[in-house]
Amino acid sequence: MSFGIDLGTQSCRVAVWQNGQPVIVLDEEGNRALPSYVAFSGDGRRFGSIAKAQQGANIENTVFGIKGFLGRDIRDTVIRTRLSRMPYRTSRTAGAAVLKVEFLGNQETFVPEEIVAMQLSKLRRLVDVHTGTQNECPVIAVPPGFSRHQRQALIDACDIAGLRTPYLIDDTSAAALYYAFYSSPALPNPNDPASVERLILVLNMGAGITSASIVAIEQGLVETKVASSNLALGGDHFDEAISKSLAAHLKSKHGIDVSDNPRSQARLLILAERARKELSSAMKASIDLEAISQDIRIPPVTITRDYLDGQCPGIYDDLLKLIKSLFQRSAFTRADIQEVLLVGGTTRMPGILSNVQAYFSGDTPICSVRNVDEAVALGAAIYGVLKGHPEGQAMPEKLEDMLLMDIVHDALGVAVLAESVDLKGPSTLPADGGSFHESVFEVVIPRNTTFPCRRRVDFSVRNVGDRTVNVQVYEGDSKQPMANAFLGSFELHNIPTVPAGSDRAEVVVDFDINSDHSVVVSAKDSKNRRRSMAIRVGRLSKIEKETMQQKAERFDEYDRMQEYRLRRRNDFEEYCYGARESIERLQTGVHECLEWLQGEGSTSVLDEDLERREEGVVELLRKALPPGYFIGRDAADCAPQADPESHSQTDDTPLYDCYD
Amino acid sequence: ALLATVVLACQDHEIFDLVSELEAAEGKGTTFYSWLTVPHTASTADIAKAYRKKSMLLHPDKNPGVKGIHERFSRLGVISGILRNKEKRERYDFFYKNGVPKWRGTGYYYSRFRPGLGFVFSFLV
Repeated sequence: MSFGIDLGTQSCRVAVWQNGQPVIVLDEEGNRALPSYVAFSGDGRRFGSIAKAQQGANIENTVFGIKGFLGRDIRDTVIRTRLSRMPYRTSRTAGAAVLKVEFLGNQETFVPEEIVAMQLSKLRRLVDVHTGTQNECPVIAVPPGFSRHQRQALIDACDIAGLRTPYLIDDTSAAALYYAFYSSPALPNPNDPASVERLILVLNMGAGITSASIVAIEQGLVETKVASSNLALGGDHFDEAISKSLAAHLKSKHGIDVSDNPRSQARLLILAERARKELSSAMKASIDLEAISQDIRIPPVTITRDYLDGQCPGIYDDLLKLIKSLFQRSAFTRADIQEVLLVGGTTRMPGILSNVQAYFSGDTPICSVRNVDEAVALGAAIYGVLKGHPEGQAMPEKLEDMLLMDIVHDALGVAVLAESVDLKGPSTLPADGGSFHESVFEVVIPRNTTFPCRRRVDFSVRNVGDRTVNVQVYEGDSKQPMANAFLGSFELHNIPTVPAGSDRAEVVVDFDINSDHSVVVSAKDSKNRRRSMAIRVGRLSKIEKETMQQKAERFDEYDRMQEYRLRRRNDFEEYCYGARESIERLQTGVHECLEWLQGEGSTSVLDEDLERREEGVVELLRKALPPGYFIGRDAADCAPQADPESHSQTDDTPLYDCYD
Repeated sequence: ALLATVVLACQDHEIFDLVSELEAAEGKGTTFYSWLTVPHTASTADIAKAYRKKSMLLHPDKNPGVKGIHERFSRLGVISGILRNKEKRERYDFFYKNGVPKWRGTGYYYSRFRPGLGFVFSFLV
């Protein structure tokens, strides 16, 4: 069975399809979200709220916010500064971030993919416990702006976690799918606005990443038109701004410098996050700074909504810039949007709402789905059913008419020689890697194309004498190939001229995007000789992944062992307490009976009284002793005798051995 | 004028290819419009609607394991893209009314058909 995951910067949610609807899976504590924290310690790993709660005590070995580093190049200065600000120890190898933690008494290093794999297998365990079955096919919601490298890193994480056939879905598309699921009427009705086509802007603002997309919803069909993300915009920025000003306040008013104390900084960040969330419903929030220092009494600080807005005005501008970029990238205008759908926890902030409202000048209804935080995970669970339902089995009735048509976010194409572009006819492919200033990027699959799709383009060959072309595949928006992401290249040799002996030669390049977003590029010459290349951008080799998978299995095994031991220990403790209790009760019962026999019972004895008391003691004895060792009394004139040998053979039933 | 036709014909190869592929896959005489079940006078909005309706039938998610569905859905995307683009639709409409030319320019044949050895021999004989 499949399950949907919303893998957030701040917290994760997981949902499954159950009883005709998607439901959120709770964690062991009954929380609906699992904070994206992984803590390492001498006796195992902790996840979620437990890991977050113990962060202060174990600051160096508690890892969080890892989504921002997944599949990112560490040479990027923004990433490098963000990584250096984290309280856990990091380093880098081969262009990627590496985390160093102390785990089970050893120094261990993990790459971000491994940490995400741990989170994924934790979520999977929750689902397994919830459904009572094995679940192996996750649908993971990712921001539409995730590059191919980031997506591949996530798929690698699934491989490490032993999850098969993962599907990635855009988080805004998932939210739209969930919205269509519960808002679309069953039958088309031309009078009902919900059954005709609606153009909706979906805005998903999370803790670290904000995405927006324009989708058309007609009945159950969700067609993504254009999507974009800002990978460095989210609620975290407000938290950072608040905690920075709190640190300044502490320094100037109380003389406490937290700049070299990561523990206090982490504490401030958590306080800031709590205050920001409070401000979504209240006008004022008070921050209790008591925990920062034991020595000095610090009075609480009160912050207001206006203060919060004043701290980070740039965030609202960035948000509107993101929305505007959607209109720039498509033929739609602001007036075309019929509804705005807000999802993600950060959209609860009144400042976000008022800014979006002001941008649409109040004409467009702004609505949010019923479960602002959970729409993405629920939508991903729905997609899991649409994608992975077993062949031949009937689709759940409500989902029969649902379909998601997703798009390619970045243009795909090849490098061609600049001199050939303006000429009529096919552009010319370079004969070798060539110099970059000579080539330009020619789009084969434009941005916002619905996939699966396939497109063929004719190219001519420059140097007929060489009879060779070099197909260099890029992804991106820039005319300069080097400014785009390089996805791979291959060569085609011995290209025949047509007709033979002339100076013309042609190559057909074919881009094929599968329904799982994988790309195969092939080129063929006029003799139908073909070479193809499946695009693979992964950083990790197969062997590395296998080693990591084994490591992950070992740790999982350790965790399961640890869980088992803990369960066994608790069981045994409970058993001991139970035993003690029944022995104590027996003791008091026997004591009371003896007292009665000595006192009242020694003078007047009634049959009923004796029987009642006897039965009482027998009952207590039965509770305290295992069945085989139980000494029964049947009647007053029967002298009972315990016979251990014969009892051990039939130790299931209490024995009432009577003899004269 | 002759030169212009030749140059344009070079860009129309995509349409020629699609027309022949469509006929091969969906039956002879299938046009872009008849495949989408819209009249050739349909508005862009109607075409978008018809495209969605057809997508519901042809999307690989709705047809798991069906052979060739990937190709058919891809073709649907390209064809509706042509019909929703004003310039490209005019090009297609020209061929829709006048028929796809029998002779499609030398470049078209050069890149698509290669005489095999047997064919060459039979031609020589």
